[in-house]
Amino acid sequence: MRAWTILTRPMIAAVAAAGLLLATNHNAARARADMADHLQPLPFADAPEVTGLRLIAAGDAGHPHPRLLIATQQDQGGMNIVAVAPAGPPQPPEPLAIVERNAAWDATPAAGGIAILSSQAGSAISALVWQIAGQPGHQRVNRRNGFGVFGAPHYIKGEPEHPVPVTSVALGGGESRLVLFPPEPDGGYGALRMLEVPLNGDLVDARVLRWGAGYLLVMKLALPGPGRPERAGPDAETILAGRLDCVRLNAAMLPEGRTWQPFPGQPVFQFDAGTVGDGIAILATIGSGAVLSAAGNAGMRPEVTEFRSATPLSSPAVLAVGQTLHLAVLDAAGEPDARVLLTEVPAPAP
Amino acid sequence: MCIPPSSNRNQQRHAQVRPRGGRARQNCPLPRLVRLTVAGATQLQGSEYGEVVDNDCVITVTATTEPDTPQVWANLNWSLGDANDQNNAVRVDRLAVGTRRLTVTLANGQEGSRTLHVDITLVDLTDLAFQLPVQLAGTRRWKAYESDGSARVIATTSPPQPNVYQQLRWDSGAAVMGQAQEHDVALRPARDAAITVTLGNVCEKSLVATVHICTWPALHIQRELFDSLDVLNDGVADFANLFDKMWIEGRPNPAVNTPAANCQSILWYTAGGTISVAPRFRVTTHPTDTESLYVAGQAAVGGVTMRWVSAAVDVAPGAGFVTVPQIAADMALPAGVRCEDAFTIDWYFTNQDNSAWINAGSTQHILYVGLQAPTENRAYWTLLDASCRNAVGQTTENGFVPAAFAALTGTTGDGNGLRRKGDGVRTSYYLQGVNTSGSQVEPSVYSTRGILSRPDGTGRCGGWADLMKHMLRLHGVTGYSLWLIRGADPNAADMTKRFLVKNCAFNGAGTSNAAPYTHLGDQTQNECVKQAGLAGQGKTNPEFDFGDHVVVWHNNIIYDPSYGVHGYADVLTYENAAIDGLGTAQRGMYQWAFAGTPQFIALDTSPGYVEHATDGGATWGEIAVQYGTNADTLEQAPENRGVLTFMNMYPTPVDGLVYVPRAIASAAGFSMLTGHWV
Repeated sequence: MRAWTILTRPMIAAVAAAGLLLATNHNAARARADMADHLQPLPFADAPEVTGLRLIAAGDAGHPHPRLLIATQQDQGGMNIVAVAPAGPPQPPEPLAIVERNAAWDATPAAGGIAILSSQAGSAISALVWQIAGQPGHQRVNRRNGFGVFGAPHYIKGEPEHPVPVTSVALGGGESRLVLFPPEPDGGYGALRMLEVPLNGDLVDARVLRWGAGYLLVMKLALPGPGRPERAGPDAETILAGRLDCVRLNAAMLPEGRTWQPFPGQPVFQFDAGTVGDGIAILATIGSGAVLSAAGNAGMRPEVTEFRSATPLSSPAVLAVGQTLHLAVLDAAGEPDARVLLTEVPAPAP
Repeated sequence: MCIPPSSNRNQQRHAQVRPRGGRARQNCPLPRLVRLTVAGATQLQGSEYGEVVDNDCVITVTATTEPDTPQVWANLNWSLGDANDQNNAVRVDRLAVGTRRLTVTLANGQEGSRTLHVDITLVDLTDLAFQLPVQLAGTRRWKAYESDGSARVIATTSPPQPNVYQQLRWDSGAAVMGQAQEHDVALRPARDAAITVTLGNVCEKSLVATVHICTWPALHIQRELFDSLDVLNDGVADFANLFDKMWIEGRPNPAVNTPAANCQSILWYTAGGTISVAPRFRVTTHPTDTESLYVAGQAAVGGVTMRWVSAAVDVAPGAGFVTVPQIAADMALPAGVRCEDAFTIDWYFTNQDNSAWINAGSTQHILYVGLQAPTENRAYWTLLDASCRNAVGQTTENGFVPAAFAALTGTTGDGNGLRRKGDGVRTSYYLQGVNTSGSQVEPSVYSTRGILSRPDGTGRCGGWADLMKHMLRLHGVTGYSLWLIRGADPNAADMTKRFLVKNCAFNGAGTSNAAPYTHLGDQTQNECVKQAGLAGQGKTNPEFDFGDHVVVWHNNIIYDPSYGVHGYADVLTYENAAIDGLGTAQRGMYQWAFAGTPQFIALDTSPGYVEHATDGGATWGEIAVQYGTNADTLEQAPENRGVLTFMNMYPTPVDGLVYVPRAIASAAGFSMLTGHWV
């Protein structure tokens, strides 16, 4: 059982200014203070239309800096993805791409810009396409697997250069499986490869991150049983509560070692993850707000911090740049008072 | 004074001598044997005495004489027995059954009173036995079961004669008319009932018999565990939770919004299969002793009566429940699909002598019997119900598929969708029109799971095809294929190429410049105008403009579960029944609300065409003749406005595509839809 600290008055005041109540366990006092200082709403005029957030590292490898990508639903047509600087003087959003309405999407730095990955929902099939922001046209990720339903597309985080391998949750045969689309020499993607990972439930979402010589896989598995929590997402889609499972993958993307849960017993709705060297940071939305699990290395017991919010938090995003964790979350999505909230905290020491 | 008689002749002689000097002495009268007194036996009548044999007791017969003096007694002669010292009594043993006469004679007694006799009859009580089949260890112990009847106990005497029987004395029980040697002991309540019968009065003999009256157990069915295939609940709240294959006393029947764990289980078997069940009974009447009995169930399905008969089962006195190992029915399920809403098993247990079955209650189940062994190892309740209910009696795949598909034919249109058994939500096809979810992850619109668990119950065609597949696989039907339809673009990823599901009205020749498309999709232009329908599952006006679609083929028949239509033997027939035109979204989509449902339509549309690829070597005429038309008609068709022609002696279209108007192509047997098997 987690023991939560009662906030001091100055801390409550700081957090309340951001519309959040924050609580943390005893081991995460430093993270609590930093977050309370830095949780800030991002000035963004179309906040009520925001449906999703991503944080990616821009700039050259030597001087990366975070960029926040924001998807907004358009009344007519598709979904607009723009980029903003999460810090510094306000600048107009940079249009990146228009993807299909309510598409699942992801982004990664690429030579010449930002690669946008998105789903393209047909009636019988659902494809994955990718494009370079600002460039015309798009290419099909699943060009070698035309008939299929591919969702939850993600670039593998931390890959050095585009084309970055893509993972997706594929529906078929009455179950959901994690598949990998590897890049091919022509710059496109090859036939999917089923990733044989331990699925202790119905796979709903998964993120693969570069981690040391191999990878870290974080999976969300739908909770079984009656009365499982669910909520409507920013796009009004049903989001089932699930359990997060983590497992290390080797360089060949085969599981190594046991599966562990970053938030044992805690149902989560959405999540994002980032790695800092051997460290791991996972930000997930839960019924009462959001939780962050951060550990400096694989053997370290993670610090878990909870953000409490009276309004639903969604679309969590986390990015490690240097020794800083950048966090973003959408508050009260779809409501007139929706806000994009940002913070940054020191990454846990190795 | 008289001279007493002597037993000796001298004395007798002397007695006749007159005494000297005095009066002659008067002789005494001769002694008389007055009577015999019997002790240790019961006088029956007169000189008949009776008694029961006894090793330890004797009968004493005492003679009374007159005078009753030792001198007289000395003249007594006893025919049997041991005389006492005074010779006035004898002791007769009681060792043997039979009648013996004891005669005593007074040697010098008066005439007529010299001899007396008694007849002593000795009888015996030799046995006492219940007329019951089960005798227990110990002395004269029998077992019986509590009932409204009685157990008869019979005494055996020696000799076995009514006059002896009449002497029997019983301490309990009820006499049996005319049978003094028999008594009846009531068999209620359960107890150890001892009955004593006694014979004789002096040193009487008694025998005791005991009947151990036991309570036979009574059972009532409390639980059944079946070897059913797995059935899952559906609906939002209890999705994919397994029915536990049990019937448990007191649980409600399966119903909408009742969690699978809280209701009686759905049962699912395959035709020709055997139902096995492990019943558990509540012991409603506890037995006195551990009893062994049999239990049996009986049910009828499709005219076949099947029985489950157990091996012997022990019921201990303190047992609350009796669990019986799994029993297989003696008869297999009959051939053919079945849907039994009230499959009833009547349970029985045997009575104490296995001569009758006693009712142990009944259980009722929803039983589905599939066509053949499933290739889907778990069934969602809604699909199992829909397929079985509509295909009752079907015994072949080709008969089953169209029959089961009927579950999806009456469910189109607003408010008519197939109702989920789990939560009552009506399923639908594109319930929100073009705003329908595109979720690829569960609960997905592309999957059976999604349609059966989403709050809105809606799905896209991929989901409905998956649902139909699932339904067929529940019955072991695998001879189906999916046919992915693409509007004139079988392989490319170009989702801008659309087709329009009925109903659209094409007015005039159209003004679109995007040949081969002819009509503007903008609904304000009145060229290609959306009409009501074609209704899909639970939705009168679902999305109708698509880049892809999928249908199911089986036995050379097309089934379109999204729209609940089937019976088309080829693509062209299906196309004519379902598709009103083609479109392109190159210039975008026109969005509006039709009858309250958000819709879009490609900005450029066409009643349809067939693409004909040419390498430039064929003239218009040569191409036209393949479609049963002529060169002018084909070349001047608005669909071909964008096709360049080599103006030579035989006008020839340049390399590329020539578009054959749908009406022409269709008449010639060509379909405009393309697709591929998946």
